[in-house]
Amino acid sequence: MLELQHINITFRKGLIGRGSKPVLEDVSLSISKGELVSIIGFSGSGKTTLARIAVRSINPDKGKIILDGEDISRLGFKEMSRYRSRLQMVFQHPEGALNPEMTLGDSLREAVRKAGYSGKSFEEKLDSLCAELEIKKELLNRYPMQVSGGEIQRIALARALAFDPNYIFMDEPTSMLDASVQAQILKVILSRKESMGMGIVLVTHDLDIVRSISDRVIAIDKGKIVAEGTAEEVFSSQIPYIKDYVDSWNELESINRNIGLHA
Amino acid sequence: MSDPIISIRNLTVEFPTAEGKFRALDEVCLNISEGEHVAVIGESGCGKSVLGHSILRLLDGISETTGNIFIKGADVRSMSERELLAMRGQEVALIPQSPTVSLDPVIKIGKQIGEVYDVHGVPKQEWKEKVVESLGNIGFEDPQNIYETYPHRLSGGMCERTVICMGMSLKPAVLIADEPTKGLDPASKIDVLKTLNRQTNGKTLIMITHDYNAAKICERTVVMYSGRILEDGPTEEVMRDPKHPYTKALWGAMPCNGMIPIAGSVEKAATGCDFYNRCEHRCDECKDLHDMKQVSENHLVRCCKC
Ligand SMILES: Nc1ncnc2c1ncn2[C@@H]1O[C@H](COP(=O)(O)OP(=O)(O)OP(=O)(O)O)[C@@H](O)[C@H]1O
Ligand SMILES: Nc1ncnc2c1ncn2[C@@H]1O[C@H](COP(=O)(O)OP(=O)(O)OP(=O)(O)O)[C@@H](O)[C@H]1O
Ligand SMILES: [Mg+2]
Ligand SMILES: [Mg+2]
Repeated sequence: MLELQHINITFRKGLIGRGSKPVLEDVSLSISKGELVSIIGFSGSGKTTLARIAVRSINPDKGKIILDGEDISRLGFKEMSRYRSRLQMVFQHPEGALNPEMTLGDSLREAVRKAGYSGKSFEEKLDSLCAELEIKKELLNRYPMQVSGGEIQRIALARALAFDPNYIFMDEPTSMLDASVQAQILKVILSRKESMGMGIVLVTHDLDIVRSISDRVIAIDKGKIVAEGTAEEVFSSQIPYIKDYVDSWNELESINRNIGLHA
Repeated sequence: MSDPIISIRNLTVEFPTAEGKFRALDEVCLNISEGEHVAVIGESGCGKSVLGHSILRLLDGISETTGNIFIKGADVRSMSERELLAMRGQEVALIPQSPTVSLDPVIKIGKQIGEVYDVHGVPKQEWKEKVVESLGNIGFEDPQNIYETYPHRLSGGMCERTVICMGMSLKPAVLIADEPTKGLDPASKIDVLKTLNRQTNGKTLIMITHDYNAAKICERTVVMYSGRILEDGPTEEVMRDPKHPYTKALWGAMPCNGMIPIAGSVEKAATGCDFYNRCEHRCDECKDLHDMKQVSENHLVRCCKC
């Protein structure tokens, strides 16, 4: 189980930090092996910040991160590298997270190597990742600037999945993919959940996806968890914040109907 | 019909790669009338962004291009550097696909948006207010504050909305929006779609998107696959009654329709239809490339079965 306990963080403004508001306030959540938890919330509510804290890419002001019973909140960068195969994150804007000077193949190979593969198994792992994520082999010789948005997104996913992590945080992982590739990748993720017991935290604004694949949904409002439960429970909540969110989603569908369109 | 504001003829774009030339656009022909709102959808990697970039001639030096692009009759491919600069931003503007790469980390948001005005000679007294107003329009509760903020302090959705503001700032005659709604919560998406719709009223919008809600604000949808246009018609019809097997399969893959991925993977055909290897209805005739064929008013499809 991966647990976040009483997480607090404020990004200070300037040296004194006057007028800084907390971005996360006493947030606690846990995910079990083989569970898929979706996080929803309006822009700026703190979803990405929470994910970055969970994978230790930034430190909270207060709170603990417990991975399978072990407190990892204070581990340094070097020590954290031992946990790579247990905890991974896919960033919201992956194009900024890849080294622009490295070919995509080298970026991916680096991950596969770090995941402990060599020789024949190395090539096999590389091939299977490319097949799973629909990455054309010829893309591997190119640099990040030389491929499409969705192609980068798939490379970033492949890098994280190379480690066969026990837990993965995915921040809008399919936002630049067409429906077919998106469906393919969600299938891959669900099958890893089933077969390897991968625990998944998915940040997405697509309520159709949330509804169809989540075991549990968490709603976050201005840095606080305001609801938690199954998709049906959360979506039917009477909390104004969630009603607003779900109503906006429905309105989005109906804006189109207003101009005479149907899916 | 009046002369098109954008006319693309036999546009082919190739990139040199380690494996030889990669053809990202293959003889694309597309006419867009003034005031038309066109969604460009299709497989990830099919050439949508390349098409957008070609219109602004942003691929000079890294690609080999043949064919023609005319904007209001002017041949973009023979424009001088000066003509290009005057065209970009004012005639045709782009909202780029990757907001984090497009934003300068050391410049405050307000100033970054303002620079677009600066380049085109609008004085600061005039643009400051406009920038704050436009930030408010796309759902920022505290635009004054955002104006004074650096990009790294913004969330993903906030960065996205910032580049949208930038692209719309000069009220260009043609706006190319590359995936403007990705990663946005539903309320921000509504704000963005409404603003885009309002700002481009009477003007031309090319909306590159995977988001069918975004496509739906456009009256026309163009479907691409492997560098070619396969279907082109009224959005309502393309969604309700898609004709090309690819378009049909794409709708079937949407979460609300069961999330069934299309079997097989993209393989550019040496000749004929590029969807051949994945198509349930393929036959020998598909080994020849067919022209776009009219199936109903303004609805064209490149498939011998239609
Ligand atoms: N490095 C930072 N410095 C200062 N403020 C920050 C920083 N990172 C995030 N913030 C602020 O924290 C808040 C939460 O940001 P976060 O990126 O977690 O939001 P989010 O829920 O992921 O939103 P979105 O849906 O738009 O991606 C926002 O108000 C943002 O401006
Ligand atoms: N500089 C380049 N060199 C080589 N190939 C390139 C270059 N830029 C783009 N490509 C290739 O051209 C194809 C079309 O890219 P484009 O960015 O237009 O795709 P797209 O339709 O916008 O996809 P997405 O929806 O994923 O953003 C892709 O397969 C991409 O890898
Ligand atoms: Mg975010
Ligand atoms: Mg693109």
